[in-house]
Amino acid sequence: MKKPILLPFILLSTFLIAQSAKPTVAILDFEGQGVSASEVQTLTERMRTEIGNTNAIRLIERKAVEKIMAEQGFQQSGCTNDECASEVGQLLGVQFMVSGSIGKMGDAYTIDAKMFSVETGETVRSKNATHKGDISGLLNEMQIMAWEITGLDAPANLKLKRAGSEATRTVAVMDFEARGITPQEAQTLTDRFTTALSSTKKVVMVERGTMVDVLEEQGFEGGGCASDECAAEVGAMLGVEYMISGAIGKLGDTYTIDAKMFSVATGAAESMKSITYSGKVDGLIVEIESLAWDILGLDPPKSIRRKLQQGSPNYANMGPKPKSKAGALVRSMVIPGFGQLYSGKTKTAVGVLLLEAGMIGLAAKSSGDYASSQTEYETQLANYQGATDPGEIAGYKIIVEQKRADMTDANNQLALFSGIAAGLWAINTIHAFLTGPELASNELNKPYRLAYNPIKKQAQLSWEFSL
Amino acid sequence: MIKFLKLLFLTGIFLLSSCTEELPLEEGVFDNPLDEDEVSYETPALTFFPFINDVSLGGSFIVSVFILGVEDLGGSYVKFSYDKNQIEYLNDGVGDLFDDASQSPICLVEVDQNTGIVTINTSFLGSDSTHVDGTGSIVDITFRALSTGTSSLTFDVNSELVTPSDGSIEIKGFGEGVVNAL
Repeated sequence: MKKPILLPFILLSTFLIAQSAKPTVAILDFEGQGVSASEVQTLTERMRTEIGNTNAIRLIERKAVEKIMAEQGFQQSGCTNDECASEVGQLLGVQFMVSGSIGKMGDAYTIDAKMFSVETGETVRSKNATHKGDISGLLNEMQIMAWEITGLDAPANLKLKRAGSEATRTVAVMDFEARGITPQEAQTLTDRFTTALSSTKKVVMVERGTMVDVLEEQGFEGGGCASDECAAEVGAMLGVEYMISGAIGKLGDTYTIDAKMFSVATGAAESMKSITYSGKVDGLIVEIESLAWDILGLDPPKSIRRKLQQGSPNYANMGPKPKSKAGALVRSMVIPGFGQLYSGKTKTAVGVLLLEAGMIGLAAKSSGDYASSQTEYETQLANYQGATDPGEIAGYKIIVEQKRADMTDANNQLALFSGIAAGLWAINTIHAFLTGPELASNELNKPYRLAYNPIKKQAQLSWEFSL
Repeated sequence: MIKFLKLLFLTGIFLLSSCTEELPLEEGVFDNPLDEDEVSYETPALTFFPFINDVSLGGSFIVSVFILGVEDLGGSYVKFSYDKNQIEYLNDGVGDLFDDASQSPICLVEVDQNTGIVTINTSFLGSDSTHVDGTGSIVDITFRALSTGTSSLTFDVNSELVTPSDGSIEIKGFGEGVVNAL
């Protein structure tokens, strides 16, 4: 069965293999079940390409495999059992063979692969994967399988691609360098930056833990990997397309943030952003959230823009809102006296509230009197209308007129007390407004102010600035 | 600010006006047809009580024929008409005008169902001095509603009131009855 022409080739192969300590592997075209032969061949080829990238094995070229098989009278598609594969492996002089199958079940595709020893026939490793969706998604699965079948972890970019196929970019963020602030503050801000990047849903992020592991493997402790070259190297190891690095500095009360996103493959800067900010360090949070969107070339969402418009002092100062005349007015409109209470005029507030409550109480009593008089009026009127005796008619008539007079009195009192209550309410609201807090603190914070000067008896526009 | 004060003023006015009750009308409240101070006609007069009768279809109701403010009444001839297509006569009874009289009167009620005319004759026998005064009913008549609608009970102006000596008493007013069959 073996032909003499094979001998030189086998000898050459054996010689070359002996030159390397890496195991030699050949991959047979996978068996297709419900998938076309050309698709299976394309997918297997993707695995061959990727397995070469692992740098962990020596892969025998497809052409060599095909040549051996042709000489032995096999079609690749016909060599599906382990005996055939083992025989081909022996002829190729490789240590391991990889074979497998790709099947389709409903909308799902399955991949089963195994690596076995040519010498012993023992299965060294077997892997399987399931993919739902378009068949093109199997390309990524075959790449991952190439790593896993050789006993290696697949690169992060392949895993990320599997996790979020819609994301266009894979990004890792290096901890921002701290200059004038504590490393903890820098780390906190970097974390916020990373969270904001994730919230854009336009990138796939590498977890901080994964990156720390890589840095530690490379012997970098916190902040040790500050150069672009180092960052690019880490990015390559993580398998991401882009790295983001930067620095946060402090000069007096002013903070500066510089961030750069660059391509791991080319080292070219994709985007560079700088921010200068004055205020409390808390305000940096909003700035860095905005930066995360800016660096991707995206407009920040409304919530962030609003915070930026409010300004850092407002954002940093999340205490109670300053009191205002309008606040006093609204409170007094809702409950009389509350505007005065809000303005700190407790006695006036209590007085107004009691007076208002008294008037409302008297109005309510008048309303009750009216209602009882009305009931009596209607009863006596019915008696009058049903009476046939002239004496009774006259008697009922007097009572009806009396009850009507009672109703009129009660109604007049109701109008009087409710009128007083309404007037009091109106006066209370105006009073609350006029005697409300003089100036809101946000107005005091303004650098310019238009106000009446009682000493000079004129309106003045003043301007303040710090020296 | 001015806009706000206007709004405040309007709100106050609204509150003020919303806190008063609507009093019942004074005019037309006292509408008892037997109230001589309120009726539009002078006495002596003939009237129906009640003057408005609301009744459901097929239901019965009692109408009293009243003489108001009469003095020295010895006998009467009272005639009134009704809508025979809407109501029908059922029965009658002597009213209370004669309760205080020294003897019971003769009371004859004739009802012509074909024309819808009721004729009432009252008189005292044996004594020329028996008489009654004041206001009261001479007869209570029960009717039944035959069809829905509104109709009236109308006195004949030729009705007569007389003294025990057969002297004529002028009837100065006639009330009208209304029947609402629903």
